[in-house]
Amino acid sequence: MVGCGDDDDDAQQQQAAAQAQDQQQEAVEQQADQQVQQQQAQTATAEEQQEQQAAAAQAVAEGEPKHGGILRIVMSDGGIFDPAIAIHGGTFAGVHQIYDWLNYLDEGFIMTSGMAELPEVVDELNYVYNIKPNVYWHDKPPLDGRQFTAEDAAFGLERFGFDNPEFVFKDRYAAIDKFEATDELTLHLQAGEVFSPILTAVAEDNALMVSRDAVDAFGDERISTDFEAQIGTGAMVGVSREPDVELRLDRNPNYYKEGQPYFDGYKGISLGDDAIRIASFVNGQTDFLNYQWFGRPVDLDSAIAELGEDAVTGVPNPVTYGMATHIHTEVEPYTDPRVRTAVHLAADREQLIALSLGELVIGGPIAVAIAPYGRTEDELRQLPGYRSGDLRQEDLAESRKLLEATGVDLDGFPPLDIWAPDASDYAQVLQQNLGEVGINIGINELTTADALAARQNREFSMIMLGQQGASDPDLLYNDLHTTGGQNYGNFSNPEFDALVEKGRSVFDVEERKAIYDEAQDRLLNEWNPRLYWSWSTVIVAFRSYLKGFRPTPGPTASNAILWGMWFDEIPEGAEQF
Amino acid sequence: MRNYIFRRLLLLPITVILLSIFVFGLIRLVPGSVIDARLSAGFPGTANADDRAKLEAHFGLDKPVHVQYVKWIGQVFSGDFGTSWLTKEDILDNFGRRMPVTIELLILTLIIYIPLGIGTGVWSAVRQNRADDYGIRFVTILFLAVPNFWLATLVIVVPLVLWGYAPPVPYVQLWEEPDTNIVQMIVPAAIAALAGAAVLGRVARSEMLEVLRQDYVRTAYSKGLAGRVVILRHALRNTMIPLITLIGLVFATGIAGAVIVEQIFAIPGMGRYLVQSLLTNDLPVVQVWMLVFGAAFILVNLLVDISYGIFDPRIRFQ
Repeated sequence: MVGCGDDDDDAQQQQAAAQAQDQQQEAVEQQADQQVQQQQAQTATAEEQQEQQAAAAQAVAEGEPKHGGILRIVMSDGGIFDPAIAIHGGTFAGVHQIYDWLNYLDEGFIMTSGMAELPEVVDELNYVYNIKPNVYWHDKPPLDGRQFTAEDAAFGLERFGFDNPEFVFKDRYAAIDKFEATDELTLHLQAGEVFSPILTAVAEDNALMVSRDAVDAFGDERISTDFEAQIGTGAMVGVSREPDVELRLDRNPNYYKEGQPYFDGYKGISLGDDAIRIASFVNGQTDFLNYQWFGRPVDLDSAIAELGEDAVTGVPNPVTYGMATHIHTEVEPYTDPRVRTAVHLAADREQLIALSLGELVIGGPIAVAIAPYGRTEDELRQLPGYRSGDLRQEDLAESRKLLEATGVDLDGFPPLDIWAPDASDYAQVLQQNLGEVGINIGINELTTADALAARQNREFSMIMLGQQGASDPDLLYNDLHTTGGQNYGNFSNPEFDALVEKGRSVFDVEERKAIYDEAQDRLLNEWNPRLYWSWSTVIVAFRSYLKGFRPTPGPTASNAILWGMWFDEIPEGAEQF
Repeated sequence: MRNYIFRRLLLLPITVILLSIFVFGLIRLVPGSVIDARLSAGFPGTANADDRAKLEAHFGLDKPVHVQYVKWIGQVFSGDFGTSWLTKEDILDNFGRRMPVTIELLILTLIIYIPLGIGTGVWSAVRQNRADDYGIRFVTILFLAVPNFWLATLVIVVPLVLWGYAPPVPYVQLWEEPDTNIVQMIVPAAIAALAGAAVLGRVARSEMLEVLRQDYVRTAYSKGLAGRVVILRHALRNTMIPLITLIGLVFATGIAGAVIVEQIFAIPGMGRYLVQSLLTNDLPVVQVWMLVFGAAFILVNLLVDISYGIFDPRIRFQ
């Protein structure tokens, strides 16, 4: 019986251990669920969810999707098709259709499952992606339509970090130590350090999956340049490309999203000039007015003037790039943060934005599109430097006071370098604004190449040109951390560095938001290493017979979700290639 | 004449070598590089100085300039034009695909340019100080003054606003759909031709006026020859030397015009290729482009020089 008693004890112990294990497992799962929810909440405010519901309701109002027709989109042929080196917006006209994402950022920066379910966050260093079982490569050799596996996903992500000098996004996944397929459909990512932007990085615009088989068969060179070597899992299959003329893609019949895409094909037409681009749209040769990565309200107005309001639809699409003014913090007189703050207080954002004719919105350090971190226009308008009317006069007085305290020679400011002609008008306004506080500054106009070179080589004092896009508030690390790759003004501040380093190590959205709120406050009130004033808002314009469009986040007004659009009526000329 | 041609051909490689040194050096004086474009083209790459150095080594930009030049010119003379730094496409393939497009545009330009320029010039001279002469002179000055990029934009916008018409897109090859291709090419060719034709017309007019005052023309009239015969057979031939020089120059002006109209009308020719490459500092493409067209221009000048002897037998080559 003793033995029996022992057996009973053992059984009880085993049962207790099993219960404890279950409870532990349950706790881990709960934690994982919470963290996934946090990741989703990171990008989805209640307001945005309401907007999304409204968009869904609108889609219902637009009627049931219909199949058929060839979508004709204006593009600029970037010529490079490798997502690891793609630097040209025009390239996305092709690659976003041919390749696909494990997860992607949908409207409102909602992280959404793509070829993989949303990740299970095992702990802060381990993430598990379950690949959907119905994902297949295009039916072209050497893939021949085989299933997309976890091994493919591991390679697809790991490849971004391969030692190829042309791969420009390698740091994005540098925190991941191990890309492991634990079984056919399970991908395990193990980070070497806590890095909270990691899940966003997996869902970034460029995080498209290229297969090992294709790389082995064609090599990196052909993957980047040869259209024949473009084999993905995306909604469309590459058919032909005539460089600088057109791109033809066919519907992928095995696409994992059942019933999608709705178009039979996709034709990218390469057009170089605004006049012919608008003319082709107006007379019905293309269905989209703009390139994928921008859309100007004035173009929409032109199209509406010719076609009428009912024939054209324009949808605002906030994106994460804009116009910025970089300040070199190691060049006099900008070494003194008080001088930089004086410049910040003197700039009249309302005037600057008015010049853009609707292309830009007032912006702070983080784009408003990166919710909930980016400040809205209304929030910013309450802040010193962004205010108007009498409050602006207070800001100007404060600016003068700061300049007086520094004793800086107001006639000795080095010229403002600008990207001409795109920034010429803005620069003149800024010049006038600075004149209001006594700063006498000249303007030095540079070509695009010169401006890029000056910024890249840090050969400027203050320079006005484009602001990089990103999908995570961690962009501040890249932009301004002492070691940041795009810290063009050589800003270095241990307190700021500590803040953005902490921002990388925290998953909790509230806690993370508090960190970036503090960083933004201090940037605008004390440090001002850049003159922040705008982010872009793209107007995506298309013919109203197209339905189902939803704005997409990211650096571009991406056509990533064009697969979800359809022709309500197939227009003449779009029946076939 | 044979000796003259032989001497000129012997000088050709030396001229091309000098041209290549000039082109290679000039391009490198332009600030910015494809490296900058790669590293900061508006996307959230996190490239740093190390990445920059690796890219420079990848493109061979870490070598001394003279080493880069010798390697490049050696490749060019062995028929390897290299690859684009930006698109990584073979430059020779691109030339092969784009050159026929631009040649077609140039031929169409010449077809419009020569008869229009000489015809209006001759007509204007023959009808000196009459209403049609004043009309032609006004129009030629107008086309000289109007920039062709503005004219090109206008011919897209006006038909669109008036009739909802736009040129067909995308571009199709001549041998695929000849009628569509001609519709696509004739307007850009006309625009590329107009400014040149205006110059040619004004020169033809002044030359023709001078010739018409010569004794032999008066003699021809007094012999009772028809005015058309006098103009075309006797007078026109003697105006051709300066006109041939101008027509030779149309190769250069036509290429300059092609750069603009190809960009505006989305014609995938050599002009558009140059614009795209210049905007992105794609040095290998720009270098080869300038070298090839520079060499071609030297050859065209040689042909023009030779043709002088055909139009004026008094000219002897020494």
